Amino acid sequence: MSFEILFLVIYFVAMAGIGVWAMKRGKQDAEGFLLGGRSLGPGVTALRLQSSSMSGYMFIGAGSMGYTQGYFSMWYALGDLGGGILNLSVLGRRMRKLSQILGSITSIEYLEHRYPSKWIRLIAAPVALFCMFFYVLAQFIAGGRGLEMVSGVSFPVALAIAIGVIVLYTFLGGYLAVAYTDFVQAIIMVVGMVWILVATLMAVGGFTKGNEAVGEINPNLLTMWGADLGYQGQWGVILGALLVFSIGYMGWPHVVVSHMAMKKPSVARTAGVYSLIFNLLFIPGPYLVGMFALILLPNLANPETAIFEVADAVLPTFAVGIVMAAIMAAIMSTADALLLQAGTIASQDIYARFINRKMNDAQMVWVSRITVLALAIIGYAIAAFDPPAVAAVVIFSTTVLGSAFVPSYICAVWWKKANAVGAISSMIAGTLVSVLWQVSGAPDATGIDPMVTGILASTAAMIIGSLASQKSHPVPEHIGRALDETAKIGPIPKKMLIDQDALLASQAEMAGRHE
Amino acid sequence: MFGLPAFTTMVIIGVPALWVIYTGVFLWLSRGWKHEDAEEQR
Amino acid sequence: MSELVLRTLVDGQDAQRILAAKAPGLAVTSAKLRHHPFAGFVFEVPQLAGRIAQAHALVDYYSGKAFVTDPWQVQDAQAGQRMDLVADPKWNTIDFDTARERAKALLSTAVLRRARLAWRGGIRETSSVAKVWKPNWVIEAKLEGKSYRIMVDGLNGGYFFIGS
Repeated sequence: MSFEILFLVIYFVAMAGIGVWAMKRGKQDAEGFLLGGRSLGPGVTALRLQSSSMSGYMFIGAGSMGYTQGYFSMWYALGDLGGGILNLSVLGRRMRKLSQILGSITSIEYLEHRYPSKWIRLIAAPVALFCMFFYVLAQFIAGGRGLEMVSGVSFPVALAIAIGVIVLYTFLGGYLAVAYTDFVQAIIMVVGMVWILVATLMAVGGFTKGNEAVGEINPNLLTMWGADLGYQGQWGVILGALLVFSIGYMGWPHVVVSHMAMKKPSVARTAGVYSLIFNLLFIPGPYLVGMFALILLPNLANPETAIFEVADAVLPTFAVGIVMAAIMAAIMSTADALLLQAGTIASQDIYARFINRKMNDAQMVWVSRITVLALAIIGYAIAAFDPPAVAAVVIFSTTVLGSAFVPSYICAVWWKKANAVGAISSMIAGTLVSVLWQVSGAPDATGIDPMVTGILASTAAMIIGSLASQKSHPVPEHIGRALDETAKIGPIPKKMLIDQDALLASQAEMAGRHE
Repeated sequence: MFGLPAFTTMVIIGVPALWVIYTGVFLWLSRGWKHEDAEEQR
Repeated sequence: MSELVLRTLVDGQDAQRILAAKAPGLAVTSAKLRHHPFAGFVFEVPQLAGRIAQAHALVDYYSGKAFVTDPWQVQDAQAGQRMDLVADPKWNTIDFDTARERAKALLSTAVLRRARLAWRGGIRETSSVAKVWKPNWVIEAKLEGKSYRIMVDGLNGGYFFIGS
């Protein structure tokens, strides 16, 4: 057994130990376990947001893109930098308030409450599940690749072990103090990444020297236009690369759901700042390390292992163990968040809504479990024999989710006229256009990224659909009022308005009505 | 600078700078949000 | 027992004080106590490692919204003879069985989110109350020449503007 594996085992035993200890010790009244989700402060909110959304892609996909495309890959990083702050500033506070007024538990239920129509769930739930599956797949592959490298077993075996551990984690994660585990992991992730980056820069003789050495291999890598200058002037592609992880990121159900769990509305504000700092420290790292891997390891068989191989080459042995453990843990917590969210969508938004309206809690758990196992098995079947590139999978699924949901999420809180017809048209148009654009090969033919066409189509559909159906499907009165409240419009003293308890909205309205 | 073409340098410094400015503007515009918290500590 | 009234923990003067603390100069012209109907449930919720927690839930009949609450403090029998009940607006009113489903769905989602998939389910209802009347203050107030109507929660003192 290698040193790294030993570290991996120690790491997880320690995490589990802390969790069990915290559970036995902490008193668990009804308040405690129920409000657990609604009590997250800015630090935990920000770091969870980041750690539950980017690990597998960052450690595998980003390094591979840096290795193959040089500075062109930075377009993705540059968009990604602002993803967290954009998400929190545009949606955070308003979404938290509106979901509270409407009483929504899941992110898709929230959409259905805001745009009352059963079609919302019928369309949103499968689209979300479909895309989340691909994102989970990327985590599986990343976990498998990491384990393959540290243990030396073949990829299919490593993949099976990685998936097995991830599934086990979704079952037993409740024994860990998950929110804080995520928080700790995010910190270890950023420390590990900075550590690898610094060691890499030292190994190549500094940033400038490193760039010069990359330039000697292929000067095109230093431009923003790709290894063969193929993207020169292709602004449609570049715009897509910038938008995917900034705008597209707002379409993630498992990311926006965390807006609903913030302790206070102002958490969004501080969390935005933390996420920007985290991103500035963390995001450029993997791309740069991938690029400098060209100097240190010019003949990698698989560019996806660039970060792992560089870490192995530049870090002292004990550090490799720690950093690898952190990377695997991060991948695991991302996969865990995704799988659990997928289970919730399958049980609450599909099974309970359309198949068995009288679902009890034991059935709910079973539907979630079966969903998780099914995703794991299908994921293995696809990844073991012909693993797709992690970067491509993540970019594709983010593109589809972003195109499908971003206008619906944004207009839900910012546009009073957005109605169910608009939202349904927007989700259908966004999904179809982005998927068809991609599979038909249109990006190469036209030089325009599916993120661009997808989001344009869904935005246009939202606007046209809503405006055309204002008469036939007006936005219900109570939603209009909830939106006024969210936006703080009304003839109420400003100082008092912002302290209101949104949970009381409907009671207040009814109490004041019949008198 | 950094052994990079001028355009690359401009982009990799300029775009993050834009995000930092965006964050600053957001912080300024949202400075009143903390008043909203008072009544929610229950 | 199928009906109970929750004790008013925030009295009329407390309510006034809460508002005045927020907006000095606000003058309350009238304060009326009104009662809002909820369905009440008490559940035993299994936790991980074989432990069981008790949880109280209230579901608003008129809006269908479910809340997890602290254990209820019930009003003495003689105190609340005549109550001013909030009338049914008939928008999204739900019945008792639907309320039970909502309460269970809220609890099970919340527990599953925390306990993950090792959780077995098995939430058991130990008691229920068909009607739980929750007190809310409807307050008429004046500030800088304008009149407002504000609701103050009779249990925790939270407030919300009804209109002006």
